[in-house]
Amino acid sequence: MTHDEIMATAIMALKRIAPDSDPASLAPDTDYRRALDLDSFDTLRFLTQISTDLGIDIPEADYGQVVTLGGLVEYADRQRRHNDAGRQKMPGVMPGDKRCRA
Amino acid sequence: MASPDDLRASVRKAIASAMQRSNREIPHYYVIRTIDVHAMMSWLRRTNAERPIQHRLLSAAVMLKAIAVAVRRVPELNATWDGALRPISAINIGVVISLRGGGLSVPAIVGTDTLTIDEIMVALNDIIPRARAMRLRSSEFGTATIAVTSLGESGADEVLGLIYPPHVAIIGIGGIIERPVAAGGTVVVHPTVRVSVGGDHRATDGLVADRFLCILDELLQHPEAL
Repeated sequence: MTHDEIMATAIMALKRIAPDSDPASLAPDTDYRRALDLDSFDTLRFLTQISTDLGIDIPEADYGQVVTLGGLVEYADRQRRHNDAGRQKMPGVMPGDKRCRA
Repeated sequence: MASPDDLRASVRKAIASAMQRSNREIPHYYVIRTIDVHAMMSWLRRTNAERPIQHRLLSAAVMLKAIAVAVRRVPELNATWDGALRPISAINIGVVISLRGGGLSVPAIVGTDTLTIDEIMVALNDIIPRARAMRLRSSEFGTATIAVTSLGESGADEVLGLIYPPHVAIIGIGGIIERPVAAGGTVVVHPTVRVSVGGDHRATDGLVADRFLCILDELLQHPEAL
């Protein structure tokens, strides 16, 4: 998944939570919670959606790293590389990517 | 099918009419207490660290559970007023939810005191998105027996609400803010929250609200027992 694809996934998820907004117009270093008026519930919903869509885990302690779209893309990219590396080391141990079966 | 603008206008009208009646008929008093939520936040952090994101909790779920349990012990606040105080046995907390683009919705969580924190979180995850999409069933309104309004985790210091008739109280939860707290002869910095009770002075006196806030404070020091 390229950075652009991760960004597009994030924008789509934000649009679902704030349908009246235009998340695509956000600068990568803007705090999307403030810009789109998201409360803690909206933010948790967004991060839950993104975790599922991208197949990554975002521990609560890391929330501070993913409050901008730029930060989120970098974080997701790092996590996915880390997951891939883990998968190559232990074939068959990591759960398969569910989206491949769709 | 009503357009979003029509819906928004009717929401505004409903709020205007309820708040006008509240301010006209109900002599409000307010009692506020600053509560140290270090224990609650530490418990949340520990609990959430062990959970996948889908099952993590927000402080609002813990606060609602503690408020519901405290209300059970101060039943004068869970009542209606019709010339006499009429306590209601079911505790259905009406959660004040802000809508995108303005307006509020106050759906009830039926039997809040009988639910676990996890169950309250599930209920919130269900009603908040539906409230914001204006997709609540009419049966989900009007069953509330007391309202709770919250500014979110990083909002202003405190909120003083207007009671939703025919309730006799409204609880306001301010932002969770780090403040210096004196403890054991020294000063530490802890997350704190200012909780307000707006009460109907025809029905109860400030002492009742003070008792409620004291019980709430005690409950929040032991979140694992809630």
